[in-house]
Amino acid sequence: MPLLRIDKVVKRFGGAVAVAGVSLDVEAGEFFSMLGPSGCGKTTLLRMIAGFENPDEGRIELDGTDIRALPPHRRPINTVFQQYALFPHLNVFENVAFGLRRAQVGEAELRRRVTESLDQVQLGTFAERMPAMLSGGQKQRVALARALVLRPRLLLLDEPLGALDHQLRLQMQVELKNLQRASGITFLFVTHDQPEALTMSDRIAVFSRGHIEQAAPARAVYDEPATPFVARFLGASNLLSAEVLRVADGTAQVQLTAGPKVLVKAPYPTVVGSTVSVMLRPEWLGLSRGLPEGRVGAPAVVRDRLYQGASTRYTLATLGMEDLEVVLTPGFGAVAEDLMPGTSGVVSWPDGTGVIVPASPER
Amino acid sequence: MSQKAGQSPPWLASPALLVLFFGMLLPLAMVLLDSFRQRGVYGGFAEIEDLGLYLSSGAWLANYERALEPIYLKIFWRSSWMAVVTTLGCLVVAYPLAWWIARGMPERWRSVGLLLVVVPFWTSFVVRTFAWVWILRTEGLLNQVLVGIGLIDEPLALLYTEWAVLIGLIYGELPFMILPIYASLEKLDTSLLEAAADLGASAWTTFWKVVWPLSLPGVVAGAVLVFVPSMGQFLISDMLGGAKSVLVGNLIQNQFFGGKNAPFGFAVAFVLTLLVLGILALQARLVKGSQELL
Amino acid sequence: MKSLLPLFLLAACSGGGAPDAKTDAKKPEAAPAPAPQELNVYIWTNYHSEEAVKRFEKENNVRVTFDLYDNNEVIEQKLQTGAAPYDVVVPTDYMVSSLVKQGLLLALDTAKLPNLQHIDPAVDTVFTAGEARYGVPYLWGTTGFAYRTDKVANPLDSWKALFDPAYKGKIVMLDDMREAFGAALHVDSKSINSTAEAEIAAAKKHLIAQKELVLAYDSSDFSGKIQSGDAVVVQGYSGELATVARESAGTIRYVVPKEGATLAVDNLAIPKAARNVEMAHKFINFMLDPQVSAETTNATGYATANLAARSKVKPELLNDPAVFPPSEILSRCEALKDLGAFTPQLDAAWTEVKAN
Repeated sequence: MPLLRIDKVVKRFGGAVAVAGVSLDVEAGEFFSMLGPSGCGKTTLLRMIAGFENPDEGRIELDGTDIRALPPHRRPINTVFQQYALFPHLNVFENVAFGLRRAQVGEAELRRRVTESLDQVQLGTFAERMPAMLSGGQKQRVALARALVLRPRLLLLDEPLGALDHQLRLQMQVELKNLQRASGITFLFVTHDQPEALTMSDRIAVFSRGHIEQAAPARAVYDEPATPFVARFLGASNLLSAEVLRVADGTAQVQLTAGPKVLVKAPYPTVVGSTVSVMLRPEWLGLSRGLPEGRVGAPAVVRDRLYQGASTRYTLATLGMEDLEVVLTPGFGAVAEDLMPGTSGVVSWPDGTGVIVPASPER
Repeated sequence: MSQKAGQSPPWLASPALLVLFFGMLLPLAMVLLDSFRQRGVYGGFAEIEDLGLYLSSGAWLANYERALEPIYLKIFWRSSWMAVVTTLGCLVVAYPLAWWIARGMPERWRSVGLLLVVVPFWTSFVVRTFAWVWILRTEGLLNQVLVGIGLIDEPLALLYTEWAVLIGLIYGELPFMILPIYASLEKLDTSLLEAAADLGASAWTTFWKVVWPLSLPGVVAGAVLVFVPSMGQFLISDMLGGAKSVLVGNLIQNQFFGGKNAPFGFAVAFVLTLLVLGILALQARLVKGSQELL
Repeated sequence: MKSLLPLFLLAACSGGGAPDAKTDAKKPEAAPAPAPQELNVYIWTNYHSEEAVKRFEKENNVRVTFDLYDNNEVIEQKLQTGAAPYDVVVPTDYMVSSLVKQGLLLALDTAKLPNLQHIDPAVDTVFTAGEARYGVPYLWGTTGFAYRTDKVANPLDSWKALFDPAYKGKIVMLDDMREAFGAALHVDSKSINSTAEAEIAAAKKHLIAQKELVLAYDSSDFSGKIQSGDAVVVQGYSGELATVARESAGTIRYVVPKEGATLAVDNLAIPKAARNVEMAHKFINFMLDPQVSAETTNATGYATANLAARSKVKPELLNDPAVFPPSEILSRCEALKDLGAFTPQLDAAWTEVKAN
């Protein structure tokens, strides 16, 4: 049985529908992210799970029991808020101890657990400090400790890393991931940042306008997006139209509308003769003056070049697109010639690399 | 004179300092000096024959000695007590109201709510107090309603009692308690309330452990704003109390009318001032801790 | 801005906060012809005839401005501090003496006051023949009490009625130190001007015991309270109470008690600091005119000090013993005298009464 089951939940605010009939299962012990642009309903769904909003329709079940009637303070679920929501009048220790005191845990046990929790987030020496004296990253860790110390069945995190600077954010992503693995607590994480979701999650649900477009393991969401929205949201996607010629066992042969005949992956049901989108991620492509052996490709003109340190991003006019993106990382065996804007070359890839993205949502 | 860049020249403060000096400090000093004199036969001030003797014999302290006699201490005590009860009464009435305006009504209605609290106070204080006479009388509005709906048979004798004075005091000072508490509550972050609930606190516990401590600066500010004027009130105990009690305000007022003893009046006023300053000092200590939260 | 709004509102509250002095109210009269003179009169509430004054204004091309009060001490206050530019004031007899002793009143030029001849010598209590005249009797009355005939078993005639537990919660006393002590001293048949410590102490005891029987101490609305029935016995001034009694068709009766009552004669006087002394004299003389005096009595309900005016006073007032008491009642009445150095002790006793 899944730890958390969301069943056809609907939420409306006035005339607008924030959550439009969402169903989802979260398994115990997993790091599950809800990813999507702002306003897509992910935060609303999170708040309904926490108990701060009530669904208009649908069920929310935790360990098989419907928890909709339970007020937030009775649910075995805790939340890490976006702005941390630390109590300004209590010091770090008392903030972390807050939930334990409400549960009337004995003083000695309370002390032990709070200290342990603070150590877990590397804030052992900060017990006496007041929240006003903490940096953003420290506050975030206190918020985390405060929620984890209660050993909830489910931990909800509402874009907790949003206010941190880039370096700190990357560092915290790793720490959170490790914390989750070490504690074994199920994390339900909301974010609009796709690299973040990809880094940390076991599974990701991609939201758009109140529905889930795709809920799948991270790799599947990136490499085999179920809809064009998912494809685009997870990164530059270079979607090309093509006609399906032949389908066979997870692959298909297609005729690109503005390119050669190629072999592609077909993870979802595909109909011969139909027009589909083929996705080529920028990092799967190569750029060179001539077409290398054993690869398929097409002539291209370099429109723009952006040096990014570890890699270089090129924008090409090719395959019927004005802005096809290619990301080249120089290295042994890479097809990566640094062509300047205005130069003509060839964009290429190993045959069979592309993937068909279905036009309509598939799970 | 050398100045750091960005600092204003000191002489810019002179208008304010002049007003402060001539408008407050100088008159206060004059009144303080007068409080050491005695009243003349017909009011006014008695001439001091021999200043040296006057000072050495301690006669200059006569008014203060008198102000600390039991009968007058009793008056100070009763006034303080009334002021404390008024403050608590205001707190009990104001807090829910402030909460309702700050968090219970839609945001666009908040200024309307605040305006409704304040608008009555743009009319004369005497008129508003008199309205309570009209409400509390034997044939007043309150009794008419209560008898009319059958809750009581005989009208209640509310006017000219201590209760009427308390009602008048609480009503009169209410906005001074509502507004500071409103300011505190409005700044309260909703996510703190959600966090408390999330961590297992019931509504009541959330109030006591999170809302109350964070609204304390507003409460203390309101308490001071209510307590200090309450100590000096004289109109309400006359109009609503039937002039049956002497509070410090009445005592001082009497000295300038029937009693014709201005020096004694000044002395009592200064004792009151010292008392109030003492309380303000106490408040400053209480708030010191929560200063960072403001 | 959001957090400053409450502060602004708080400041706005203070605007209406300061209480006005209960006593003063401005009542400007209409101004007639170009460049009229100004005359400032400081007088009791409900104490003059507006019509008569309007005539005076017309005849003399003057604008008369009235400021009102309801107790004597405030006159003294204003004149002592020199704050007020009044040309005419109307103090009660004992206050005239006090003001004269403090040098605050101007000696009147009797040559300018031909109407003085009409004054009833019986109420000319402040003036001593051969000395300078500082005040002219204007209106007078007594301070007795009124009661509801429909709410008491037998007719009342003694000050003891106001100290009777039978009327608990239905007694109103004047909020006036001299009058309250006057009533208490009368109960012991003592003089209202007593400065004997034992007598004052006894009076104080009466007043303290009386406190729990008192509905309110009120110098402004005693007549309202007896009319409404909230009070059964009220101490008060004859002018108002007599009017109320007449209008009540017998349910309210005003009494000058057998022990005696305060006789109060209000005098017209001119402060030393008056600006328009000439016009002030004219005004006083005008008010002393028999016709005007009669109009004043008819309008206010208080007895005129002007003998010649009596023939023009409304019969219902003239024949009302509450307004014009017969001489045997008058003989029981005493005028208040300023107690000089004794006042602080009396004030302390009064404070004790109120503070209990």
